[in-house]
Amino acid sequence: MGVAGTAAALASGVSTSAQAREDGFGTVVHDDYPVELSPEYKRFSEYNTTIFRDARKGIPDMNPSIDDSRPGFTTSEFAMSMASTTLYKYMYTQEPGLRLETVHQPHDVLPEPHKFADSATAHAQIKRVARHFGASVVGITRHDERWDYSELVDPHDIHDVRPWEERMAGFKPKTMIVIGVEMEYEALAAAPSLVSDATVLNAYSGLTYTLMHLSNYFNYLGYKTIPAMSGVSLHIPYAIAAGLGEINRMGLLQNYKYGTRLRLSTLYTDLELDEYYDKPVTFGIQDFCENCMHCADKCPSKTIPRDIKPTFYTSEDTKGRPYMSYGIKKWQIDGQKCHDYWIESGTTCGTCLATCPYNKPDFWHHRLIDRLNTILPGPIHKFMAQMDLWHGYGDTFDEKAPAVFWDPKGRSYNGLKG
Amino acid sequence: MSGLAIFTGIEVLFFWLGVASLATVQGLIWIRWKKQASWPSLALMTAGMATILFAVAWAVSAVLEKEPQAASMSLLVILLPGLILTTLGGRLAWK
Repeated sequence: MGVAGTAAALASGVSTSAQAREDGFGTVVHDDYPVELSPEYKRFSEYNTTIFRDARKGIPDMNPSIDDSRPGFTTSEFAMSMASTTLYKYMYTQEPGLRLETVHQPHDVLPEPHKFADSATAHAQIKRVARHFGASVVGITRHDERWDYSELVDPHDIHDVRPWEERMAGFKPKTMIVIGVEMEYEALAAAPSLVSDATVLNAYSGLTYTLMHLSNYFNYLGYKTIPAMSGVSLHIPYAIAAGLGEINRMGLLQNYKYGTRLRLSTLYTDLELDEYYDKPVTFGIQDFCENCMHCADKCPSKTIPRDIKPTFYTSEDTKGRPYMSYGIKKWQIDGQKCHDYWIESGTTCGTCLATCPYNKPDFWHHRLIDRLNTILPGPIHKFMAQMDLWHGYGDTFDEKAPAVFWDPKGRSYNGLKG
Repeated sequence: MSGLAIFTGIEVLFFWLGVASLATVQGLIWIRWKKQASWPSLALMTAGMATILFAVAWAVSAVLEKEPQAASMSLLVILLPGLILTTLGGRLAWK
């Protein structure tokens, strides 16, 4: 790697603090759930999520503001960000049975629910349909009630809280379809700003489109569904179970292809398969996160911990912080600090997503490094993370980034030039 | 976008990398044939030229993805060792 490489390796202190990988080598497929749970783990109530706790205090979920003198906060960027919410906000306004996060009944077309030839055919067809409707990634796994909220809040009356089973009465889910929709790299690189917010919110509208269409697909096949856009279940554990990635330092899903640049939703259905083929995978993310720390270093609200290893929080640890779940071995994120910063900054932040070395555009050299990282040992991960910064990636609060997003050069809008 | 309308920048890059790789192989064969270069010198030059081609691919890709700092760093970190290896191999061959 030459003089510069050696200097970077020395600067990053690889010999003293680097952590080695424990789960195996390369991409590892697991039969069991790869995240440790303590016996103390209990289902989490949606009532205790930071967003709903703050809503009960009269604090909005977002606080976007216009400042035409600041790149990333102009009137046009505000309008783009707000317009990105159109589809999912609309789908929350519908009647129960039609809107998101309620039970959707089968359409009265078939005399009885359709039976797929076998589980392999079901997997292949469901995934192809999800891709047809816009999913960037899709996985299928069994329903596991540990990952359902214990209580659900009615989005139209935030004081109306009922147990999951009561809110979804008459529905016994069997299978979970987990979908992810990509966020745009150039927009996310402008985090934190209204440009990065726009791609986050647009991904939610994209998820809504995919979920509602996929839900209707199952309803036409004769099955009940719940399109769970951002509530009803904890999407990340389901995504891990469905083999879509690993949990990272930010407490989010790290996908093999999209890294952090992904938003997730789940679709509950009562279709039951004989076999489930998607298994959890790990590919060295925990080890990389132990050695990297970019997200923790760049987080403006210090929400993300700098602990080397993931930890269990006990009920005692979270006594004063009921918005935190406990009993799962992961890096423990303080969601209240994060949301406080959303309100203070007038954005949904996203600096952790933008700065992560796995957040890259789809170019061959990044795919190469991602694949190398699955087999490289811990000390090299620390070196890789340092080199990522030296190569100019992972900038946040970059006032030039919105200009890159808006730059018309090299974009063909009429299709004439490729 | 490459400016050629029908090819993307990456497609143009890999076309020219193919041309450069072929020229490199022909050059190495010529050096072996005409200059009777030793196998160690050829090994050094092969490694050096491969590193240089890799650095070029990386740098152009970085420019295409609008990360010029990554292009500069790749020239420093990858191209430089490639040049050193090729020069060493060349000096051995022409000794």
